[in-house]
Amino acid sequence: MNPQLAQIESLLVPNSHQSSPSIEFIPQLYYALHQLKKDPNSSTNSLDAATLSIRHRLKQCKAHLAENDECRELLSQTPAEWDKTLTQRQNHLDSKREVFRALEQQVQQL
Amino acid sequence: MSLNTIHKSSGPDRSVSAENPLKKAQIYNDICEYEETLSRLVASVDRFHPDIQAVKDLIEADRKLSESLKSLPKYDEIDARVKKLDQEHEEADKKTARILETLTACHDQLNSLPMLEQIEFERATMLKQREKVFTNVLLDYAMKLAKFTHVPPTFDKGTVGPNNFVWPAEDAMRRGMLAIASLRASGNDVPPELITQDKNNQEESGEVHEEATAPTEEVRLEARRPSFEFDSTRIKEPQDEKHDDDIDLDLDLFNSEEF
Repeated sequence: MNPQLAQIESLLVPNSHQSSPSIEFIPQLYYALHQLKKDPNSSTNSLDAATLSIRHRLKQCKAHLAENDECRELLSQTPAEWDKTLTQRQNHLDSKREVFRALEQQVQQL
Repeated sequence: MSLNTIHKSSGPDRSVSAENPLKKAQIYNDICEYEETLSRLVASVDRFHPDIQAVKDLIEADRKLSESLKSLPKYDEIDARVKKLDQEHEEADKKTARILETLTACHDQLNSLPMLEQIEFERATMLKQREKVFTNVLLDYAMKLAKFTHVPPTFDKGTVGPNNFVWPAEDAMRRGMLAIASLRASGNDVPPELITQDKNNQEESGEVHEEATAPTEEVRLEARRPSFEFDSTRIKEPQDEKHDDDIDLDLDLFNSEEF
């Protein structure tokens, strides 16, 4: 996979073969809310502190997208738009090859 | 980068996407929405008034972000196709440049060659030159033929008069400067009265030429210096031999090496 995309995936999606496996956001939030409900007066239980890692990973991902031009350009279009663009480029390439074939035939006829 | 080139060559969306391509990235918008919803939920919980709607929005944002993340393999496939197309375009462009260089070299080479019309004109000119027969060649050939040919027996000499020749008549040549010069060159033994007589004869030649009769011509020939004759029986005197050497004009037309 593209290294840029792989890094985004590693930041947001749990990956089992990593040394420190990531945790999905919803279960982590549910667990934090559960701890807060169980002991609402505890000073150590804070949803802000519990979701700090989630927000940190989201910021890392945003920074990565903002800094990486190639990744930003790739993700700036939807797959459907990319299909149209690539089809146009393929047609352009085919027209170039057709010109080469026509030129080759003309040279052979000389 | 390959994507930069694609983006530059893309259609009318190029300016819009170049202004803020991050806004067009769906996954970036999903992350921003996730952050906002999470912040709203944390704030409501910290105020001990949990916002249920924030929880629902967070679940919806999580679903959208998961959908966006599921499309990453598609983007990876697109990236591979883009790189492959970039490589093929680059090869095609290199091939085009190589072909154009070759065509330019061929064009210059063809321009350096002479034009077909010029070649045909030069060939026609050379053929016309070959068709012409030069005078010196014709005269050389005539001189060769003259050594072994005679006047045709049916040719009537009387039909061609001296007036029809392009060269002067023989008697005119005898009265000319060349004859007088030859007389002077032959020696001082020629009496001056003979020369004066010759001059008188020249003056009278116009009248005598038409009224010439056989007896008068004989008398005049006797008075004049005898013509040069190629008579082998004549006994040459030493003085005559010297004179012959002086007037040798290399008239031996026969060249044995040519045959």
